[in-house]
Amino acid sequence: MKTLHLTISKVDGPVFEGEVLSVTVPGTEGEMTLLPEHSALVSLLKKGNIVVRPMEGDEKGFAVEHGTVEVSGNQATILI
Amino acid sequence: MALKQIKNKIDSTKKTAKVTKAMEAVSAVKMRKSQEKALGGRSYAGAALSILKQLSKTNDPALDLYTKTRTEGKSLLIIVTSDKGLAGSVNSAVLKQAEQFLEGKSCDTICIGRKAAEFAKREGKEVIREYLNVQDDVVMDDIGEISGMAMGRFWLGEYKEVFIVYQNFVSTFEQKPTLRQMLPLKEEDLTSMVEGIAPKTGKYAEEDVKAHTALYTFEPNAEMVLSALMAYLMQIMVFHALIESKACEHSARMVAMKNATDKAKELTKALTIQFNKARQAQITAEVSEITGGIEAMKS
Repeated sequence: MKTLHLTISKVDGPVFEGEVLSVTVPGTEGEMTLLPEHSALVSLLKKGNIVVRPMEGDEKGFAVEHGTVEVSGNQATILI
Repeated sequence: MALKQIKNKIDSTKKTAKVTKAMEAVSAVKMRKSQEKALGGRSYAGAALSILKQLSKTNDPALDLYTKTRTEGKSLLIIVTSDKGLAGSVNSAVLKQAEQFLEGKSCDTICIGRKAAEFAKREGKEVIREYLNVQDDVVMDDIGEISGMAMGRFWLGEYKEVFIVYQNFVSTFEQKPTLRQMLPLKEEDLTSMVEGIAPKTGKYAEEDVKAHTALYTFEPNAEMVLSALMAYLMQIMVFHALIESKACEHSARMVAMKNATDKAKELTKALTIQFNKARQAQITAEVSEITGGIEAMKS
């Protein structure tokens, strides 16, 4: 199964890193779910929850105040 | 010197050695922690940088605000030093660089660390904000405030340029005072900073920063993304400077304390020899007195 490499980091350190099936983020233009092989995108985030569905294990949620998500080459980076 | 005095001196030197030895060990641990922390920010910096590179290709007019060189206005210098001394030349090197920069310039300062604040006051420069007792695990609120303040005032046109001067960590024995331009943004400065996050040698030297080359879709639009991104980049630069100078402070203190310990041990050795000689001299004198007395009684 295809997966997306996701990194969530804060300025002072990484929060999450690993292969995920999908991740849902609260974009300023509305909530969106990023799947593997997503096209290149940069979007701002608004206050809300990031929901990560990792390859193994349960869903994880992270609360964010604001942030930016960047997707390219099957890699997603969320800066919060 | 009397025997008693030498004895006291040996004792006090030994005690000093114990203290410096303990300080050395503490600094070693703190240094390692600061180094690890500095590397934690790398993925963040790398990602922010690659987005910015992509943005600069779009030639969005909004970018000009942050990259164009201005001619009017004052300069702002952020000086990062430690609060405490006993760390070799770590602070004086930074302040020397700051002094060179400030010469003949109309420049305000933001001071981080007691030594920086004292310096700015001595030089008669206006301090718009000072931060003392910044902890080892740098608080993000402070960083947001510092970078926000610098960026806001730059944006309003009060300052034409923003610089930051701090001690850069090369290796445990080598630190380099570094002056970087934060605003207007220069790509070379930023790239060299991101690359510089990894020390030249040692445990973390080999990791690479990922490079992306894709055409992005921007949401909601390039301008909004840009201003948010600039805030991130400013934060990274300030955070990086703070963490680097912490790592430098601790490693410089470690080396200084190691030298002090070695010196104290040397001194103890020299004093012990002096003590033994003095004691021997005293015994010899006593013996000759006694034999002298016996000779006198015989005759």
